[in-house]
Amino acid sequence: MDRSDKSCNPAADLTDDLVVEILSRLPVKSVCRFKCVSWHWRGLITHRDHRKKLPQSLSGFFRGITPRLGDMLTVSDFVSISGAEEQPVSDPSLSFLIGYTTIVPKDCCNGLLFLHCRKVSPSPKYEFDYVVCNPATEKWLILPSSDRKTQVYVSRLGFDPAVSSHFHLFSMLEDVEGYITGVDIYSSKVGSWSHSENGWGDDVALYERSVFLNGMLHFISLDSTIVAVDREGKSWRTIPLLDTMGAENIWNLNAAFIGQSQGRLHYLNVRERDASTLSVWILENYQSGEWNFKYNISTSQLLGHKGLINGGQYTLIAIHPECSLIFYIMRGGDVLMSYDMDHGEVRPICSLRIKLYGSCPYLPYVPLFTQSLANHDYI
Amino acid sequence: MAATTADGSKVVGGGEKSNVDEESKMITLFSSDGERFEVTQEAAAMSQTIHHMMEDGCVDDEGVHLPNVGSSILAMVIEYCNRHVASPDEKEDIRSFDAGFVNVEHHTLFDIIRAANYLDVKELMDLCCQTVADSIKSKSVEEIRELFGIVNDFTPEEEAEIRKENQWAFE
Repeated sequence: MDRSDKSCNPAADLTDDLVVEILSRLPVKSVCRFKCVSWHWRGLITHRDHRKKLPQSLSGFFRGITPRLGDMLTVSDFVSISGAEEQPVSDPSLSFLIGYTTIVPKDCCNGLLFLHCRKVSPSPKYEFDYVVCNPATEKWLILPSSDRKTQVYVSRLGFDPAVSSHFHLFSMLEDVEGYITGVDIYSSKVGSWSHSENGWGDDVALYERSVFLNGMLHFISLDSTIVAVDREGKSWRTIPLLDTMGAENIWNLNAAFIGQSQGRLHYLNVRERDASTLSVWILENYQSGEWNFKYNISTSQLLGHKGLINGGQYTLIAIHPECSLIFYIMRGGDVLMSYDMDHGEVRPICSLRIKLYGSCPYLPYVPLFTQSLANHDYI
Repeated sequence: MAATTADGSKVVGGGEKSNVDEESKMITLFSSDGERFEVTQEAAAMSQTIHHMMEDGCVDDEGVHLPNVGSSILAMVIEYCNRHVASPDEKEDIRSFDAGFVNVEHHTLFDIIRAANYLDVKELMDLCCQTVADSIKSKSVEEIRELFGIVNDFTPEEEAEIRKENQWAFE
């Protein structure tokens, strides 16, 4: 072998950029694990300049906070679940969004954030913009007005960078009784809004929590089904729930929860006759709508005590996109908790620093650092 | 198709060197240990580094010296380039060639990656980096340290903390 002139381990001669080249082709789980190889590798993986190339995972949650109760001005904030060394979000208050007195994060999808921003204005009228931004690149876009803001029940972001560099914003429209009448959808590709009439049938009312998956926006309906609509507003789907999925308890707002993990829709709810158990079902077959029961979680374990349990004592926040971990907050608590569904382990994650009154949406954030061509930037 | 071997400056196929005939225009490459390789300009141009040198008129009659690439690795890179310019459309053949090509020890792959990076042969970089990535994606942290010759410089407490933060990745 003509290797006498090389050191005994040629890998040691690999420069940092070549190591990053190799790491950039790994799945996110491997990249996260290899942070533990050495300080140097940890630095490489978390370095700002390399994040454009490396796959990212859940790094924390955006939320709106009201730092001074008196003036009720909301600002954006970020709760990181990464180590102290990592700074996934350098500007949690999104100070690059200029011209606003109030910034309220409303939804987050695959690295893009949707916010209600109240304009600085001499008039007392509440004028606000719909803004979509990428906190990682600090680029942002004000959406044109849809002229229909009074009928909007909730607006949600749909974005999948694996499919397209363009995003959609869905504004679900309701009548005075709260039933869905249709949807206005903004397409960043077209740059304008389009309207579609409701295709779910009569008398459909929704809970706010949604999941964007497989190109469709999913909600839980008040009559115990999952409903979904696609990006064009053309396909309207209803996915029934099993009888055992605690449908009668769906009135307990804290109990029913949908999220996505590992590419699958997850549904969590307490059982009809047993509020001490939180059950998890997974939609294994998206096409056929087949639900598989997966886990039973003891809520006393979540809360760390035995005693009377009702659904209001904790709030489910999110499911980790890559593993079977759920995040939750105990009522009145100021610690973000996680529960490992495969191992039945509870673990505190971090302090929430600010005690909050009422619920504040915590939006799971997976950073998107990649920038593609100028015309198709992810904002 | 012109081919060279690692032990000399052989020109095979085509016979005569002809500077007028574009297809078989040759260029000489010198490895770090002084070995001579004759390659078609077309194959050599797969290396953006060499391609730019040719375009900028930096290649004299003598050829191109590559002080960063040893002869055995250069021979492999040339074999790759020759194969890829010869029949770029025969996808199946190329795929099976590539599979055989990367079926080597890790230390050779690292050497090829270094050479492909220096020579800027993007397809070869992609192929080898992806091969390494595929082979390490399920490895444990300890196995990675061993493969890359990395010393663990975490204290036990530090390592435990980082593992806890990234617990899910260890499942």
